[in-house]
Amino acid sequence: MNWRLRVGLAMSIMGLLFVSALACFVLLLDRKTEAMGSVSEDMVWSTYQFDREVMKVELAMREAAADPSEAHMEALRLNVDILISRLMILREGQMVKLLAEAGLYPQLIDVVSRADRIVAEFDSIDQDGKLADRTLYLAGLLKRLRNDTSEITALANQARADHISDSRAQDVRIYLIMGGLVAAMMVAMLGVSWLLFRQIREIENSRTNLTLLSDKLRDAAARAEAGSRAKSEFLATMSHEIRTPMNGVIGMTDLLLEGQLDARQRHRALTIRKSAEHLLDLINDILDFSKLEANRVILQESDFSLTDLVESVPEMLVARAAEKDLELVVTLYPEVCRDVRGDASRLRQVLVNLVGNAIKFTDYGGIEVVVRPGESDIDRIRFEVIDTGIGIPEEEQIRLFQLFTQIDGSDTRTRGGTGLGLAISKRIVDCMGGRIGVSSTPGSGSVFWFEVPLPPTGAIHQMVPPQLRGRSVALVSPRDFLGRTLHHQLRVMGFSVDLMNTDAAAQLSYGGQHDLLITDGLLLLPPALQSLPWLTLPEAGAEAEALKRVAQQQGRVVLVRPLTPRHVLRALSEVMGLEPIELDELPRVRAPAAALSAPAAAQPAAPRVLVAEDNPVNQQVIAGFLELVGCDLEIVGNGTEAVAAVRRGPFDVVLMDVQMPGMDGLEATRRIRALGGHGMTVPIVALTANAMPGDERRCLEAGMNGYVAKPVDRVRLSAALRPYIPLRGDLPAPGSVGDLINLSQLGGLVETLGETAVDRLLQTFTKDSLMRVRAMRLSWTQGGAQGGGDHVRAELHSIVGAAVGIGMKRVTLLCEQIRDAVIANVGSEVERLLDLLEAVLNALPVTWKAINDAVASAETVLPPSSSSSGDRNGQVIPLRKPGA
Amino acid sequence: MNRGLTDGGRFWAKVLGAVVLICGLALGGATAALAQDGILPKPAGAVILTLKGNIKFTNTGDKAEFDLAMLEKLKGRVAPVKTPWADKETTYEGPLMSAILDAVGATGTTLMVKAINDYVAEVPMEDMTRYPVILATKRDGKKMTVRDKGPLFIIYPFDLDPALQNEKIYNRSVWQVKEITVN
Repeated sequence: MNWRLRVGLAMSIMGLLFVSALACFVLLLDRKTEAMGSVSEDMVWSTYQFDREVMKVELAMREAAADPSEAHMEALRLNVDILISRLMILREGQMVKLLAEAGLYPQLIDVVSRADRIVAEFDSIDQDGKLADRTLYLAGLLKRLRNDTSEITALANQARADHISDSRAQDVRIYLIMGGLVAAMMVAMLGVSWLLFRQIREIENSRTNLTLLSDKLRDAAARAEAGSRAKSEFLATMSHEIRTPMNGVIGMTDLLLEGQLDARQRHRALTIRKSAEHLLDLINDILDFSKLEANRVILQESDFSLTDLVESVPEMLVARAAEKDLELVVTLYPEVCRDVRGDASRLRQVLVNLVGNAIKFTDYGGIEVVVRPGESDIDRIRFEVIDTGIGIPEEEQIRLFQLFTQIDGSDTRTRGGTGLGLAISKRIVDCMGGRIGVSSTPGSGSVFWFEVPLPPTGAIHQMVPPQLRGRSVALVSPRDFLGRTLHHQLRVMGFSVDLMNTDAAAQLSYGGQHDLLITDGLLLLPPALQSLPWLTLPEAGAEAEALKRVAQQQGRVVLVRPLTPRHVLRALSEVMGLEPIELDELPRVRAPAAALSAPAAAQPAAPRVLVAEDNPVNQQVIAGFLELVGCDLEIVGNGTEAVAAVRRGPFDVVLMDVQMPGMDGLEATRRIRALGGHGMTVPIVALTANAMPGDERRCLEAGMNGYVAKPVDRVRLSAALRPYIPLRGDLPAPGSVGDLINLSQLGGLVETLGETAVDRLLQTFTKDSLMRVRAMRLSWTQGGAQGGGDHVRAELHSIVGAAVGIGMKRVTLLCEQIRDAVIANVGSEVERLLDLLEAVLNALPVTWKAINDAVASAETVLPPSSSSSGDRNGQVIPLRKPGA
Repeated sequence: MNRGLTDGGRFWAKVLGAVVLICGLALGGATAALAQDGILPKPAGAVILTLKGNIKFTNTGDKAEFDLAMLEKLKGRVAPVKTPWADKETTYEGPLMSAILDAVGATGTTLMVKAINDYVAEVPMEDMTRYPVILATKRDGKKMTVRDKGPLFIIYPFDLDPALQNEKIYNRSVWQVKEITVN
């Protein structure tokens, strides 16, 4: 029942109630009036009294007739007076009306007039003094009158009875009506009660519904939470699945970069590397998107070179631009070429988003990226991505930064993309405390811009080499966009630029006012210009041909896309005969060229590394790295094999993938630790793709010493392994303290155990090892290679086990050499090395102070944890200076 | 019968009645002297009312007899009332019942009022103290004969309290009163 109907019903019920109540009241009032009307002298009483008085007068007359004494006469007169007073009652007042109403008026008139006449006759007879004679006569008159008064009394009685029964009938009628009205009231009351009941029931229902709803909502929330958890797990799994092949890409690219590459190959390999890194960033961004949705972006701020960041963006997108024959030009104002503080990854994400979008929605011309100081705030930097695309109508511009929005829904298929980009960008820019916006004219392109605070942390880099500053450039381009944007870029870098179209250039007869020439395409130019150093931008896709052609020509250089300041400056430097500018701005991995070329025999024994990793690509990547740094490898594909391998022979370190088919890395680690002996001490470093918090803890709890997050690259691997094994290429010069001891490792020990404990540890180690040396010497001299060899090797193993744990590099090295000598059965060498070992051991306490000083100079390390200290603490902590 | 009395006349009659009432009240102190020292004077004229029963002051045996003059000396009021026994509003005038009862030192709860034709009605004493009930001696300024329901007529103050217009009170409105017995 809808509320309108219900209100109508309630109103009618109330109306009925009201009308009934009113009607009852009116009826009762009417009845009251009626009752008031009947408040009167009873006519029956009056007529009866009259009749009685008539009889009394008649009686008095008859008495007077019998005995006409004065007393009787007086009594008679009094009776007549009383009769007269009664007569008056019947003549006026209510009684007349009542009798008339009763239909007795004619009889009343008759009786009253006859009585009047009799009384008048009585009075006249009395006045005449003949009363005594005429009493009988008068009595006869009265007797006849009395017949009529008796009759009128009877009639009045009848009338009263009629009136009473009428009244009763009327009462019955009224009671019936009132009963009806009361019934109506009861109905109304019932209706009201019913409505109230319904109301209460509905309130109860709605309360029940609310409870149900809140239950449902709670369920839905729980489901949503579960869904969200599932999504997080899905994303984590996906990121893992994507990261693993990415390891291959990045690792292989790194290996490629280690090889002999020419500049172009190098550039391409670097681009692969950068794109792969960006892809990884994107995966992280997808992971972050849930956080973005929940409105909690965590900015990871660091100091970075804004120049490098901006330069890296078109590198990633130049191929896409080239596919559509679009030019990408980057203009960097000199003021922004510096180190700044901010979230580089997020900033790059926004830039890639905007430039990617611009490429998507531009079919002719190109995209110019302009980075300049903010318009109002010096700490703010303004990024503009200007395209010559389809543009955006003004009414669409507002919606652009909302979720899942593209300018035209129907365009999604042709343009592609999720529509998430701008929304994410806006969130990020908002989080950075910046602003983002767009201005556009449909048909002539758009300018997407954002301004974010990026406080400078370093001085401005001088990008332009001094020799190039202020040079005059003749820029010839038939294409408006390229000419304009390149002109802008060069002018901003301080060049003096003459932009001309082909015709204008053809008119030029003298090129003397220009220092160099830049042409868009392989143009035919007047000789005056041809003599200038000449930079050519070949058509997209025609670079190879251009390079071939230009290679033969002196003073001509090909401009390589994308047209970022670095590329242009490098080409300019080259064409002007200056030192080429290095393009590679990756963290430089110092190629161990010398180590590679040096004969392996001259090196100490290679550290043995067990690699447990199921993915063949990763196996190769890791193997590639480890071989480069001079490690001896054994590779296994699962946990079971890893445990078996450790049981078989000693390793200096185990690299253990956490997720492997069959027995996983954590279980394998636990089993290795359970083996006892070497298994308890061998350092195990986890390899994991799950960059999830908690992974590290689980690894350490399983008994691992360290942790490397995939994708694995040289730097990370080196950092993770360096505490445990000497890596070729960073071995210290012989004779230095570092040669003797792994400073970082010992520093870590000092950090975790304290200086005195380490002191004691060293003393114990020295004493124990010296005993073992003596034992070995005895075995060797008595048993020789056949008898004593095994014993010597066992002793050596023990010493190495301990030495590795406390970073006794030199001792470890010597032990390896002794072992090799034992195996080779070179007795003199064994003895010489044993002597050396003894000397080194004896020297240890003496050089403790020197070690302390050396440790004090160390900066930060990955402390070795459990294997040596028993403390499963794997955190990266800065080393405090011992004794500080 | 003043059938020609206009509304305006009736109004002035009311005013007059009120004035008379006030005067009557003012004279109360003087009339109270009727029963000096508990001795009720003997009636000089024809006796028209006899009180008996539970009374303190008497003048004839154990009765107290009144003539018209004695009654007219008592504190009274003028009551312009509408009764069922007359068509028009009628002005009755006479001593207050309470004054008569005070004059005889009546104590009791019930008055048995007897009419000339020996009709007897029972009237609560309380009425007399609650309402200024009069024993009318005059109607419209004239003495009432027996034929005019005189000479004495108990008139309740219908003019002051219309709620008195009911059968119970009408039955107590005895006319042609000749004797009151205080019980």
